Parts: sequence; structure tokens; C-alpha cells
Amino acid sequence: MFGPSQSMGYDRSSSIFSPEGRIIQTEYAREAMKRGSIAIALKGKDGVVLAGRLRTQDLDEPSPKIHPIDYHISSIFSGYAADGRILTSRARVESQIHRFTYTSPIDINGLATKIGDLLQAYTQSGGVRPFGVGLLFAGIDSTGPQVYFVNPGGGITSCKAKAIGDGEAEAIRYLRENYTFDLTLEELEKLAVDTIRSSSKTEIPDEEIEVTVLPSKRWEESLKKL
Amino acid sequence: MYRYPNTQSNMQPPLNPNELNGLHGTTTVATKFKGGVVVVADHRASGGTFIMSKTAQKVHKLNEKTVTTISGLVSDAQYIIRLTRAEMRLFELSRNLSITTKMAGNLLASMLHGQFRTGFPFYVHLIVAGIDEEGTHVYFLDHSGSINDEEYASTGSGSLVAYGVLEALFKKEMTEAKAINVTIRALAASMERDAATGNGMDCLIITDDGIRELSNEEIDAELKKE
Repeated sequence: MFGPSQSMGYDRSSSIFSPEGRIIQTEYAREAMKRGSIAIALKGKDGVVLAGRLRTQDLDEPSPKIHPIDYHISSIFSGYAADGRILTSRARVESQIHRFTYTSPIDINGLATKIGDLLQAYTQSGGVRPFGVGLLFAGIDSTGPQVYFVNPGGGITSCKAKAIGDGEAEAIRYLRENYTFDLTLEELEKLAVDTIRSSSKTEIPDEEIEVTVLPSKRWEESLKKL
Repeated sequence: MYRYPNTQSNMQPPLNPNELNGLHGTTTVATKFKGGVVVVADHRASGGTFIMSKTAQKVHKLNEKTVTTISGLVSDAQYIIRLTRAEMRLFELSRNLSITTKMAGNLLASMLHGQFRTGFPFYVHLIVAGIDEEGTHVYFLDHSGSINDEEYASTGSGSLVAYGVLEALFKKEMTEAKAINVTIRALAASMERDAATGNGMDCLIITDDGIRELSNEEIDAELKKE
């Protein structure tokens, strides 16, 4: 029962490498991310679009998929909702710490790095497990529209368009064929919804898709906010 | 450098707020009227007998219908206002509810009291004024964290002069026009007689429609009225 398994027990701790140099717990965390309902973020010339599928069961009210972080940033995650809630809350605190310290809104890369730092710490400490979520931060800063993906290992990637969660392979295939940076916000919004529909073999009703559009002017507006 | 009184120790004991001569040079006034509040403050920041600034900002917006005025140690005041704004925004994002004037005032009072009990209080007197679903508020807050909802309040070295004018002219349930005139006259009197108050004023009116600021011309016109 406790004999050697295929991974030789190297998956029992998130702070131990396997002989091939893998941290297998973190890879399992990525699997948890892929089991969540799909989350998408796209950037275009006029701003960013986030979209996600709401998953509900029985008579539960759907919980929101897209979370505002600041006036100019929203985030969406896929994976364990409880883990994601903690990171969303942390992202809001980090964006307010930035405003408090510098009296100016945080940039998307800075925010993604802060959250990435936290996720990384949970792959290198004893007695903890990694967060079972991947997050997308989308917004506008002084460098223009930005989309960042933060994976459960703490790695951050700047993306043109990204899909994570259940059906991500199909969604990314659809985006490869249909996405360009020059799309207007209306076209991006339609593309986001179509991409979510493409990720599922079954029909998805409108009320199961949540979309947020952040136009580029949000950055100038955010500068004026308290 | 300021000499801390009655001590040989290198450790700096808390200042006696009553000995803060030269650090609290200011006058701010707020009054209630039927349907709103008027808030005024001068522009002078003093350090001893020297005028440190002629363009000091002493009225700070907290939300669409709440402002606070500051007097005392400028650094402490600016710090807790930044902190309050961050806390308010985090509350709004995490609960999806807006913060009322009453909540903002009591949040500030809690922070002042917490700091007071550490033995190193913030050297500030604040007025938190605004309108929410419970009606109009003019909260007076001191460095110990006390909070009282007043019909009218004044802070700073010139507050005694302003209170003299308010005692003579303030009436409960005044019209907006009358309240603007009385409040501006109270501050104008302390600009005449308090050396640490001057260099013009800000005048804000908060009603259910939001915050309106009077121009310098409008303020001058109020002072010329009979």
C-alpha cells in the first residue's frame, strides 16, 4: 500500500525536486487549474476584454467569475475557488498598497509579479501546498493594454490572448485562428464569447458567460481616482 | 529641531498635543444646513512663525459625498488619509458595498484610537463631513479617537475665532445660501485674527447631488454681502 509508486514519493512534498528536476506538486496544481471553468483574457488596440464561464450546480446562485482589482485592472482565475478568492483579495490589497505608497495606480506587470512572488513562495516552503489556481490579470497602464498570466508555480507571462481552464486547448486553437491585436473592443468581446462557446462540446447559454470590457481610457480615469 | 520637553532620554516620548504650538496652525470649519454641509479651510501651513506653504490642501475627498479636513501634524494627517482611502476602497471591492460618511468617520476614529493606545498618537484634529442615507454629518475627531456628530465644528489654531462667529451666526436648519455665508465668514474672521491662518480658502458644499466647490470669485462675493 505504501510501496514505491511511479513518482517514487517525490510528489509528496512541494519543496522537494524529483531526480528529473521536477516539482511534481506544482504540476498537480496546474492540473487543478485546468479543471476549473474556462477563463479568457484578450488585449486589443483599444483595451482589454475578460470573459469566463459561470459554473453552477443545483439551485446555487452563480458566483462572479470576473473580479475588479482596481479601476483599471480586473482579474479572472480558474481552479480552486477558495484559493482564487484569497489571491484576488491579495491583489486588491497590493494595488491599494501601491496607491498608498506612490499615490498612483499599479501597473499590470507589477501586480502580476507581486502575486507571482506569493505563489512562488508556496512552491519552496515546507508544510504548505501550492495554490490550485491560475490567474489572468487584464487592464490598462501607462504602457497600454496588458494581459498577464500567473501560473500556480508563480511564473508570469505577458500574453496577447490567453485561455485557462476546462477546454483551454480548444479555446487557444480557436484564438490562434481568429485573434488579431487590431480588433475593436466590440469585436474582441464577440471573439471572447465565441471562444468560450468553442471550448465546449455542449451549447452554453448566455447567462453562463460573464464578460468585462476595460477600454484604454480607464488608465487616465484611474489616475484621477482616490 | 524640536526639543522634546522634560526629558534627558534619547527615546522620544510622545509630544503633549497641547504643546504643539506652531504645528497646528490652521483653521477649518464645517456646518450643517437643511440638506447638506459646507466645509471650508484656509491654505496656510505654518512651522513656528514661518509660513511653510501658501497653497496647502486641507480638505480631502474621501468619496463622492464625504470629505475630511485636516489640522495638526501635516505628515500624520496625510498618512492616515491615504490609509483611509485604501481601506475604504478595499471594503468597497470586497463587499461590493459603498462606504457611508458615518462608516468613514468611524473608520478614521478607530485608526486614531488604535494609534493613541500605542502611546504615539497621530497629532491631528479632523472633521469628517458629508451626507449619507442617515442624513448630514459633521464629525469632529481628535487625536485620541473620539468622534462626535456636531451641528458645526472647527479645528486648528484659529478655531476659537471661528467658533466665536459661529456662536453668533449659526442657526439650525439654515438654507444652503445662509450656511455658505456663515461658514465663510467664520473662516474669514480667523484669517484676520489668527497669524497661522490665511492665504485664501477652499469652500466645498456637499448635498445629495455630490460635492460642489466655490470659485474664488464666489467666495469674495459672499464676504461682500450685507
